[in-house]
Amino acid sequence: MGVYGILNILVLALSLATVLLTLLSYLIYKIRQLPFSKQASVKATEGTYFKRYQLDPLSEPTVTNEEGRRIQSLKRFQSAPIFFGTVTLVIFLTLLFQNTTQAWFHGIQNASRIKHMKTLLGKGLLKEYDFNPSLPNPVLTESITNKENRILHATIESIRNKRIGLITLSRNLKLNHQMTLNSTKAWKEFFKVHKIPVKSLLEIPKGDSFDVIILPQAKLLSLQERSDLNELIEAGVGVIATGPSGFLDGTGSKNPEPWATKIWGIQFQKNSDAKVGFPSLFAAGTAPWWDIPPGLLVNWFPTDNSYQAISERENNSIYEANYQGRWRSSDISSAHFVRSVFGSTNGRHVTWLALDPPKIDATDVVQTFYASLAFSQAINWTSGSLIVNIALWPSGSRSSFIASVDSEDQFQNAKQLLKIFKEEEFPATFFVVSNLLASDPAAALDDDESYEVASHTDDHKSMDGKSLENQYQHIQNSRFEIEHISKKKVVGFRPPEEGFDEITLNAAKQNNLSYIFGDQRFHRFAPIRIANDSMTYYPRSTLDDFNLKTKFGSYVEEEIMEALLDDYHRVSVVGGAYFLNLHTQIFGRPEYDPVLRSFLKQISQQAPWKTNFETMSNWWLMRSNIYLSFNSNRITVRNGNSTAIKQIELIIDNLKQGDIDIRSAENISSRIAKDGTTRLLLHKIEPGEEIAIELKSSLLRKISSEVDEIKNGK
Amino acid sequence: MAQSSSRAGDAMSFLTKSHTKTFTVVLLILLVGVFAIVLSSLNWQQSVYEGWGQWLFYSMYLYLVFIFFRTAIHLMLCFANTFFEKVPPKLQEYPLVSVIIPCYNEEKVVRKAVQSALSLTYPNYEIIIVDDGSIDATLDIATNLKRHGKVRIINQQNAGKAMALNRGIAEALGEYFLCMDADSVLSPGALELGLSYLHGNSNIGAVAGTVEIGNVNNTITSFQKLEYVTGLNLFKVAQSYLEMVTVIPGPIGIFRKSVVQKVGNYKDSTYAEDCELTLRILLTGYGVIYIPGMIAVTEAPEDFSSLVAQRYRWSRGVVQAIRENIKWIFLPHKNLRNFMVVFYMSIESIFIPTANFIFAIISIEFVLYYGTSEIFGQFFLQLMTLDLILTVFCIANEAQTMMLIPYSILNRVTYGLGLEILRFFAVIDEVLGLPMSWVKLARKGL
Repeated sequence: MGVYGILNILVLALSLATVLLTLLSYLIYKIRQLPFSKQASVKATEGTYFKRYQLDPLSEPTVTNEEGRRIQSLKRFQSAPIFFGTVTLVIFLTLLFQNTTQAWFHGIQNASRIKHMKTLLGKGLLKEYDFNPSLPNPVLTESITNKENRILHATIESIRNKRIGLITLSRNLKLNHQMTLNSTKAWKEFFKVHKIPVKSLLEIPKGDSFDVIILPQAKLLSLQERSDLNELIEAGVGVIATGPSGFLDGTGSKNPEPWATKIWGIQFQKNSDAKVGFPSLFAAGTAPWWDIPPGLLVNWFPTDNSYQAISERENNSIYEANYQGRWRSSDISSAHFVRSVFGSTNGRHVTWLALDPPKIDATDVVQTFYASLAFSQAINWTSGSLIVNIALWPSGSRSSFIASVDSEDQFQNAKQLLKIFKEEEFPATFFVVSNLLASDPAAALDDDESYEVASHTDDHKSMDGKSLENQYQHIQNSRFEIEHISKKKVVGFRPPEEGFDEITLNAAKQNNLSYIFGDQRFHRFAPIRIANDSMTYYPRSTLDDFNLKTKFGSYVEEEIMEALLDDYHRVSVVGGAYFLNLHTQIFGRPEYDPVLRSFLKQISQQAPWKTNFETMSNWWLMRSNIYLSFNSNRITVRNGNSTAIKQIELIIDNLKQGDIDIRSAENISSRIAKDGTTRLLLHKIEPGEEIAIELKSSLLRKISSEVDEIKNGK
Repeated sequence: MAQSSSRAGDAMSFLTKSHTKTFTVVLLILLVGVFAIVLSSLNWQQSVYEGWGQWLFYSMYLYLVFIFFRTAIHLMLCFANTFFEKVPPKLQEYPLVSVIIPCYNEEKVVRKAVQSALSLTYPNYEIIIVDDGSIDATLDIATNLKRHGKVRIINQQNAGKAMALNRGIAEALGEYFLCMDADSVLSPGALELGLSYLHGNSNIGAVAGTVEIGNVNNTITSFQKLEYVTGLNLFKVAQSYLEMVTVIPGPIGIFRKSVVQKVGNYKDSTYAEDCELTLRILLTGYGVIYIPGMIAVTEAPEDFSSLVAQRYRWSRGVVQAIRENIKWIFLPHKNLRNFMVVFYMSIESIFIPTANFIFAIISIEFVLYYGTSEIFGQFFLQLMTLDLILTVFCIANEAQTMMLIPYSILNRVTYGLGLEILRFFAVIDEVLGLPMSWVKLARKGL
């Protein structure tokens, strides 16, 4: 600091001291004029014309001689400048050494803050990650994980050992030539690609020489053929039929009761709009596609689209749906158009499909995977193989529910929503615009871990089109701000206005975020692993309050309630996760309180797994690190995670050994589900722990508990 | 007192032709000062400020330019007053003049005041001591002084200074009267000098004298001396050229009795009765001039709290006087002179204190908030330069002590800043109509 700087500080100190002392004197002067100081004022006024400025005559020098007056003046001369000088000096030194002073003050004032910051840093918060501007953007496509591939291979391996017959009936070749040919060709291609041995048959075999036979597009079935098929089923052979099986009899006339209707209870309806193909929507949690995520919407169309199958049964695994994932219904009966029905006769499974293996571009890894998995699992289940799967949601819940709030206004409505969620006992995620945190910190300040606080950027401006560095900074700014206030780690991100791109994924990933709650580009009622299995993506596949407002305009409780329940129903029926996304500026307003409370109460009655995005992300990741292996004697479950996992439910189907006795096994409970499957609930598995369940002895017991290679760092 | 008289003599020779060298020096200083202002203005980093900060910057810039021109105009008027001064001829006749000394509990000072009045060189005058119901020994001391013959004592019930003065005016036998405070001391030639300007010119309603501080014994009184020399007195010289001196100080002023009675004597409707009367004299069309050599030495507040009370009363009183005559602001077409008088007083007593206070506070705030000295330093540097020019000017021309220079350097950020704050609050208080209880209480004595 040069001379000029010091002079400046000196001038500033003099000015400040003058301002302070003048204001102080003025204040004292005014106070002495207040009513309670009247006495002094009167005295002052009456003192003299010429010394009216002399407020207090008592303070006048009592000495009358010149020497006394001189001494009095000298005292004044000494005291006033000394006082002024002292104040100036203090200010001057404070300003001159302001860095030191500030540090000292900060040291005192921020001691607790520093401690707080250390605590936050110790908890892994406010961590600044290295930004790499040249890191390639991750691909915004679904990742098929190694585990999923292993499950597919295991399934295919299982059916390679099965005796499979593919029946092409000559009558169908003749009278329903094209459909039969296409269908048969599709199945043969499927078996060829997966190197699965299959025997082509031209008539229905006798006895139990096959584990499973496939009857594609057998629209014509004579009486004899139907009889032979029934005998086959009774003999314990699994049957997979596709298309309108037996819709016509052997002569080509319409059958009063098609064979498929008799076996699976489905009705066929002439498709008035056969040229339009609607996608197929997968349910989850039902046989045989436990590993296929709920809400998977794929462009697979029936080989014979001239008929639509109707089923009164609600859980049918595949539905005909529109491109928004809403299932389509018959105009006549309001029942849904189905594309698969699974049933059992005499302990053997029978499967009906509207679909044959679709022809898929080999470069489309995701579609190829799901097509392979779906049809191989259908064969595997129908053939009676033992099937063991991990349920989608913990605690045996059929579906799950996540409430989230985009907190993006300044009207403190997040507080009200938080209150409702607490009272109705629903966890939730608050996507917070961090710049507004100061005015609406309610959600961020809640200590309850059930209420996650995630980033909705710092300024609520769309990320789409911004540079990587810019997006990184916006996310980092909001992350720091939220973590500082909430003391909770930010792991999730919701792009404002649902505008984002692959650069956003890169920015989020470099901020070490674990999930992103995005738009409707994927249809799914479950999390999706994306970006080479490094992040979780939540598609917004359900209604949000903006949709409701647009749809209904003004607030009508009954209409909103009906729309919400209908939306929830279509998700819960397929065993999916419902993502209720609200905005503080809409559902945060008091008039929406009743409908929100009422909706949440009704949801609670259906007992879904109520959670938030962070917990579900963790669960989804941990679930994928639970490894199953099984044969006819034993099921082994291994926790490959670094932390314990709780409330894992195993679904066991095609179990031939009868009921499992688990009375002697601790930490496990069992039940038989309505669909006939056995459910085992493993309350807790420690990291690296392996639990083996013996099947042969009809006695379930925990036989080993050891740390595996993950825990050992191998 | 002897010193004061000597200085008064020097001041009377204000910039005569024999002082051409001094005048040249002063002119050079002024030019250098102006150059410094322009040069430093170029260094202002305008680009630093945006939005309202930039508007503030331009406002401050304009304000400093205004202040510079205001100072320059006053200095020019000072020169003009000197060069074009018509020195009145020696009095050929000596009309009776009444010296009025209002007193209330002035036992400690009244004797000196009367003695100085008795020492006046003017041959024909009377002294009227108006005792406004003193409860001390003032009346006794005054009665003792009666023996000098020229002294008359008037005793009345306490009614306030304005009423005491009015009583003195009513009792005065002279065509002119000199008002002085009981705590002041007149220079011997004051009356003769003043009357020489007044008697020969019927357009002049009154003359104002110079007030000097007799108790320069500490920092506060030293600053006040600086203020009187470079502020009050110098500006009065400038105003005097236009015969529009705005305040005739209480310690010394000579009035034409007929004019004062015509405008209605003193009034007690404001806290500054001297300023209010002066304004009425001006607005009636009479001139008021300033005679630097007509000196009264008075006692100034020696502590800050006393100073605060005095300056607050002065400032508020002036604002009240302006308020009572504010109509002339809107009537320039009817009387341009009256408009100029009220407008000038509004600028000097309301606008400048307000602007000084606001810009000073904002400058300080800028420094504290942004940690930069740009605006702050520049603002005070400009004003300090102007102050210094005035001080050097006065030292050169009034034979003032060089000790005024360090006070002048510090004035803008210490004493001057404090006064601006007080003036600003006085304006605000008056605008808001806040009560000033001690004056109200004083009226209770009536």
